[in-house]
Amino acid sequence: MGYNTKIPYIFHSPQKYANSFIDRRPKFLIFTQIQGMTADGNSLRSSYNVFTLAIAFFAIQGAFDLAHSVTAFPFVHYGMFSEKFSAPDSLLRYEVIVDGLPLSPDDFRIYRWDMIQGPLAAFDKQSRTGDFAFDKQKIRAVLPGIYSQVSTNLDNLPDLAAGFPDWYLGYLGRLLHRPVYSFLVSRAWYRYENNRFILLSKTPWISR
Amino acid sequence: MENRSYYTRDRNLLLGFYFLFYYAVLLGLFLDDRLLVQYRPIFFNYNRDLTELFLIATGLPRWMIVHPASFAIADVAAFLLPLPLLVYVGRKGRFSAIAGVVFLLTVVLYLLLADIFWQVHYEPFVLFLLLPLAWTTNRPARFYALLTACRYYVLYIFVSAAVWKLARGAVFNSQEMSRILLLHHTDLLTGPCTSLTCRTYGWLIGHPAMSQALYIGSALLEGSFLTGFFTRRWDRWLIALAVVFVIADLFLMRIPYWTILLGVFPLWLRSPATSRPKEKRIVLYETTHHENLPALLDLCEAQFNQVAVFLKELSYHNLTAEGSPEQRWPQTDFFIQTTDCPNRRFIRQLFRFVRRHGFTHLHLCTLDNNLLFFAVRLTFIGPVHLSLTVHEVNEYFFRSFNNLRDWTETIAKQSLRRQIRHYHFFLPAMADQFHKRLPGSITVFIPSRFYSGHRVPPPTPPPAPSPQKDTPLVTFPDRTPHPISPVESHLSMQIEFPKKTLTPPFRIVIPGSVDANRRNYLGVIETLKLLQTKPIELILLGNAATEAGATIVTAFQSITGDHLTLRHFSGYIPESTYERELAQAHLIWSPLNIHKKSSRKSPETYGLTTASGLTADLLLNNIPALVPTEFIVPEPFQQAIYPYRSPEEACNLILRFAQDPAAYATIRDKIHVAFTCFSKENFTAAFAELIRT
Repeated sequence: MGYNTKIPYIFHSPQKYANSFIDRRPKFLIFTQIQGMTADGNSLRSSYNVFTLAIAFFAIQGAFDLAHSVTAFPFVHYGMFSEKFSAPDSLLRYEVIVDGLPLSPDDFRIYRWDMIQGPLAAFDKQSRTGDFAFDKQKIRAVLPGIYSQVSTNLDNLPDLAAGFPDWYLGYLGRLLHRPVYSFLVSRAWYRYENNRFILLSKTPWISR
Repeated sequence: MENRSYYTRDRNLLLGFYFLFYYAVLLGLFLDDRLLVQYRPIFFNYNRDLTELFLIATGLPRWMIVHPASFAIADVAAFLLPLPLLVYVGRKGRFSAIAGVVFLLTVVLYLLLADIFWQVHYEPFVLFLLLPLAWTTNRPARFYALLTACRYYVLYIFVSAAVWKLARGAVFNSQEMSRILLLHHTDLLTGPCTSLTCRTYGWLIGHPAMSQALYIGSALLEGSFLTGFFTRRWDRWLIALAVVFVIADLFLMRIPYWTILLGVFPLWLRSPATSRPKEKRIVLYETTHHENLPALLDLCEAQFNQVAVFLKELSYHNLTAEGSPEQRWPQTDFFIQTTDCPNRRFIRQLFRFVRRHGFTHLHLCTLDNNLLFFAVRLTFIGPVHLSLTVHEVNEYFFRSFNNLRDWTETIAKQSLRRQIRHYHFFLPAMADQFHKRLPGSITVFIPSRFYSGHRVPPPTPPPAPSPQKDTPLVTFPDRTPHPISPVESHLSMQIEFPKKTLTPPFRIVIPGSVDANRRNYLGVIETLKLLQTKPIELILLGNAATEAGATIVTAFQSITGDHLTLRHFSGYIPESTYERELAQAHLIWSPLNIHKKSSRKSPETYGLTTASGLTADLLLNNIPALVPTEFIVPEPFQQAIYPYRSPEEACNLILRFAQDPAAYATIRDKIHVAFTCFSKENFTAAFAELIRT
């Protein structure tokens, strides 16, 4: 059988085909789809502006990554739980009782449960931080001129604390797709010990 | 301009892929009551993001809280603003920079607001901003450059996650994952915790080594994206890893991170400039119509650096009567689908082969089954030039919704017509007809095979009338031994011996399966009844071992006698036998029912919307052929085709051939000369058009 005379491939897999070239035609490039940086570089060079923008984008991205806690959308961190967690002393859970019945995460899709819990955590944080006073203080320290002009915009509405329970009552009704007449949110603190959760305290927080 | 068609296709793919994700996200928001109008917030949050801070400083979030109708406006804008962009592309065939920029800004604003109000965690959505940048340009080079940049961003997402885990020492913290689970699933774990997932989380928390192994595994998975910065070779694997990551994230962390899969698009897509090697390589896919392959293979070997053919075992064994296919086409690789290899598996491997070995062209010689499967695979084949041989024009446009197969094929054909712009036909009239139906497509006529004089035996005049009446002779075709292929063993041939034969008979061959739907055998019988004065040997050169075939054979048998010998075949006829029978014939008769129904019941017209195998058979030799007068005789074949209106006319034509050997020899000489136009050189330009990118 001559050099160019081929035998047919009774089909098993293309890998066999590729392997067959190793002995018979060494000049043939197996897996020719190998694309290196050179080819991509050419593509980018063909559009200098895009190349420059891409470089700038990645440079800013890198800078924000080094800045740790601050981001500037769309330059965000992809930490994906990379923070080194220490053993928690206690674990907080917002327990929601609607019309006398407790809500359980098992009864909701992931995001729907997030939407029940999210506003509570956010409102809790807003209350605890004095409407994010620390952040505003930082802005005032760094950009005092701008802060004086926009300070009103930086504040949440003054009647938020009073209005939140009513809003949450209505919101739960929209979320559960049924009328909600009353609810009670408690802050329950747990400790994890010996593979068990121990309830430390449970305090009623918001109700209607 | 060479890459323009790829650009158009890739641009449309990006649009489709992007908006599939985009509207899936909006639908998800709606179903989970997360649209702004459904949430109707009364406060906003600080998330330590400077862009958000800027937006808060403008007063917009505060204003929206005071004016809740603005939430509805934001949602409606998110739903509707893609429309101007899509309509513009649909009408003009290019992007509107204004529509692109407006859409982009809207998406940015919506994401920022969502994070400010209910903390959407927009990390996986950044690609929703970066990919639309490709719509701000109509220059292919810039388009691909932007997609390349997006690809690097996707790699960056994963690699930076791995780097963070490494840099912060999380991977070295033996309790890391169990603590993450503890904090992340507090809601679940402090409840009844009866579900399997909850108990799994509990078990993992109680076994930190196991959970940390998963954490390290995820870091390795993320880190493996680093390879993408140096080579695109593993991009498909990276896509698979991204899917694994999303699935694991869902089950282990209860985080539906699927939106990040939008990033597989730039990983999957390759710029034609970078992915198309300089060498031209083509793969041909054929099922059972192997008789149509020779011309394409001749042309492919001349114009491509590499040729591979995927075909059925039966087709391979019957591809040529002269030696083996690999001897006739030494530069071609043949991949054979054995009978135990399922079609879909074979097709899957075909596409894998095309992608893995960087083939630049894919020609589908026959596409009669698995249409939807092909349509889907072709959608994702990347920058490969596609072309298709259409055997039945009407069928290709036929819509039917009678059953599931009809539904899928109708949808698939729609998709195929959009994806494939280059078509090949066996008749010029078919190419013209098709082009009218699909303007803008490239349609070329290339015959099934090229005419080569060396195959043609010297014209053998039919036997002159002999006065001898008692010569009991039957002359049979040459019995030269030939290699027996596996299929030939199933062949059987029946010969109806005449009681006595006057002279060596005039051989008439009716090629093709013995099928009353395709051919009018009654007309043949009528004609043969008129030919009582002339010894005839009739050969039904097709499988007659069917119910319909048996009926037809019986009808012929009823008129056999001194002047008529009948031979017919049961089973598949090997190509060597087939070609030998044709070579020994004096006349080919193709009594076509001009109007027939395709296998899917679409009406077809021979010579206009579908080609008979006759055009392939004719080019094997220089034998005249009889066809019904309604048959639209293709111009290049006119010298060989003799139309008839009635049995009487057919009878006269046969007698003319049979009784005047000198005239018959002249006819064959003329056909020989006419057929020299069917040379490879004369169809090189048409083929170049078919494969032009």
